[in-house]
Amino acid sequence: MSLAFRVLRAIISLWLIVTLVFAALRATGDPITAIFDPDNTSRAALESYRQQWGYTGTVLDQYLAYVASLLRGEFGFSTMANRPALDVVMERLPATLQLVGLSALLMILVGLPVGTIAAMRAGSPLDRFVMSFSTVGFALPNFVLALGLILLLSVNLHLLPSNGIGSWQNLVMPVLTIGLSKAAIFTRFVRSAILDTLRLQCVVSARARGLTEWQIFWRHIITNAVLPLVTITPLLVGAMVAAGAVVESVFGWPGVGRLIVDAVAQRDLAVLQMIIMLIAVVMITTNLIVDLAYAKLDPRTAAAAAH
Amino acid sequence: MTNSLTDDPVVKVENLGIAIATERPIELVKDISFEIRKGDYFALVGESGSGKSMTCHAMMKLLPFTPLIEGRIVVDGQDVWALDRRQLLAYRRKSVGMVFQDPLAALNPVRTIGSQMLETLRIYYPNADADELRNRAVDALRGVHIPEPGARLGVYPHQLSGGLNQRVMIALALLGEPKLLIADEPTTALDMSVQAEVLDLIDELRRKNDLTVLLVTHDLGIVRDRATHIAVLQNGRMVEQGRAADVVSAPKADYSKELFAAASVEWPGRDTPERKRTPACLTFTNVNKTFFASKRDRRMGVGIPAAKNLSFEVRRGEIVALIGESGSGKTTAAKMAMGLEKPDTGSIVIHKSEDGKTPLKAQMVFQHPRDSLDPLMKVEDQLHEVLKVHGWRDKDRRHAHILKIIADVGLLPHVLQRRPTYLSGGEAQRVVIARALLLEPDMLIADEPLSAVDVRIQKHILECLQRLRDRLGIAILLITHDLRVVFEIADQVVVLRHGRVVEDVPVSTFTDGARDAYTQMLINAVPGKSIRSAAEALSEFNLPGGSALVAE
Repeated sequence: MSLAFRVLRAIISLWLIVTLVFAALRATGDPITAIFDPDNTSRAALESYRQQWGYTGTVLDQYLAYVASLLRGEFGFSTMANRPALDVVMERLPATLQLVGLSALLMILVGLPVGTIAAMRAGSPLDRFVMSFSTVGFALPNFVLALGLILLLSVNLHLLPSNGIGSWQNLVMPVLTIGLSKAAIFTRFVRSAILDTLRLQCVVSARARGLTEWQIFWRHIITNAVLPLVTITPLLVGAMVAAGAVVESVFGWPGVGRLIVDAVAQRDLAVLQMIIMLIAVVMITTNLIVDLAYAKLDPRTAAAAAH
Repeated sequence: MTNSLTDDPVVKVENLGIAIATERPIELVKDISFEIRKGDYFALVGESGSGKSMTCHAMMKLLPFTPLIEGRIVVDGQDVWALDRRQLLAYRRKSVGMVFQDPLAALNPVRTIGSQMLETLRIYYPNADADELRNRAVDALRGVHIPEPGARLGVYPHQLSGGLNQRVMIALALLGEPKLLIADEPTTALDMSVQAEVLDLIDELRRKNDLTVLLVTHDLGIVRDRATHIAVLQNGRMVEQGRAADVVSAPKADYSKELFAAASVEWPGRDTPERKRTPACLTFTNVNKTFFASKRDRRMGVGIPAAKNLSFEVRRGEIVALIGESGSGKTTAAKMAMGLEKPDTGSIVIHKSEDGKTPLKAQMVFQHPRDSLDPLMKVEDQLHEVLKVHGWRDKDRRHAHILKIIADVGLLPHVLQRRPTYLSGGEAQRVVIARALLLEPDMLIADEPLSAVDVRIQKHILECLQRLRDRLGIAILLITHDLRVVFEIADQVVVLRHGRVVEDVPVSTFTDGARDAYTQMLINAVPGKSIRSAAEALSEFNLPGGSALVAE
């Protein structure tokens, strides 16, 4: 598949998401009457708000106006902050990127070695221990893990602040919560990817040639095992952003996740649309990068595309 | 010292037993002993599950599980299972080289040929610089007759043909100049003409490098032509071993007799009575089909032709063998006959029955019998299902019909109660054939029905197909890459190459001076041909027909 085709596909996905978000949000009722009590607000005032925030005309008119403004690079006006939605979201973005980035790092740093060791010792008590731990890890809801950490590290041991932003101590618990819960899943993927690779004939044949286990691992096992992992990683990172909504709320972390919760509660549609679009763009771009990286990592797919 | 070394066998296996260590150990190999002397070409022969692969993997300490080992394996003066880790590495590097069945799988698909060669060379020449290593890699590839060796270093395994990949594997295995080369079914995954080339290469390297060869195979044809010694394994036990000439000419054990009989090539053109021409049942007329890997290729018109002006006919009650190598368009032809692929141009006609009313019915039999059966369903239920779908309401009638068909394919009724897992390969293939026969087709299209089963079982299935033709008058389009099968049962041979018919003749005249060079090469590549030379030599005494001679 050519790059142009992939980009076109990405744009279509984005448009579909924008449309779905618009439809979903409008399907839940008139945003103006959700914010202002229509009994206690004058009709003229309601109407002026409608004008101000672009909620005039039929739903179709609103949709077309909305898409047109998106194309102009205007992303609407936040009703709760009374500022452009773009600014509201962007100012929260760094905090979330920090959280997700560190969590992803933690996930990989934990999942890769632990999954590998479990696979190498498959069936051993160590493997069973790791696997049971991972089951607990991904069965545990994020907020339970978060509250458990607060109880232990803040309330009982007084080691870390339970809330806020500013120092590295504030980061520890949210990153642990998101990173570990995703590491539990990632470990399983790593384990099964490595197990599949261990069975490959090329690993046996490398062993027959007298390569050391270390060489075999880095040159023959990892090179093949990364292929399925590369595909799954962006999905897990996407799930981290979603997990952020809960975790950021619990730890009072002023990121995009908490903004989603606030925006939903306040029916700030512009902000909500902005966030969802942002997440969509990030996911679509990541997938695009992964597709391209995959072709680099697996020459067989590149060949199929070149034919 | 040199003297005593050359006198010592390169391989000495003493009372080898291999078992899977479970609560009740599962024995795979029991009490196997053999010796291989320097320069020998030792063939370990047996069907799948006989323990031949297990034995040679044990010689490399490469078993895929933790086994219980009895006895000793001494290779090049080293007791393999007593080596510590360092010694084992040195042993694998210096004493033995190993070649595997599927070269594409045995090479790392995501790394270039060159990088895999260099990493191995670096073991032997730790101080060499990049240029020297590269030169050595090129030399090694040249040594196995790979054209343009320099250019191959940068390519990935999937970009090379199976034959070239196997050459690369052989080059890799010999980088450390080992004394012993273990080749585990080295040609099973390759086309027949390529098989011969790879085996020739092993022969040549053996002579040139004073190599001792241990060849593991199920194909007795290969063994007969090349080995100096043969050992026959059955169910993990050694049933016979000795010098190749002795074992081939006078096998002692019943099992080896049966194996050799099953694998012998019945050269055609002797006894085949001319069949009377029957009406056609399937006709291909100028069929063209091209596959394109991408839209761009389609626009540019660069495609892979799977059928080019393909014309041939299958007559009623006739077995037509469609032969050719992988990529020659055999399977595409079968799929088009079944309507699973559409031809670009040309016509494929399935004719009507004699009264001209109902069209003839065709059914397909696939290559891997186990994959085409539902593993969780009893055979009986799978057969009933087919009939039910086609509106057979009455259970007793269905049952009676199934029993009849089961008997037609030579199975006993008790297989009906089994699930596919508990069927042997041959039974499974016959169940698949039976399932195809349930709806009483006039024609079977069988895509390599024999390639997944052992030699002895092949015999049973061939007999079964023959019986279907002779008793029920079913036409069979048999797709195969194995000329031995063709000689055994086919009436007509159609040879395909790059989607074209290069030969379409009755099997009786197939071998007398085939006109087409490609066909000639296929014929020459048949393993175990020496039998034919003997028959030919005899027939030069102006005797009318070799079969008469054999009978006398």
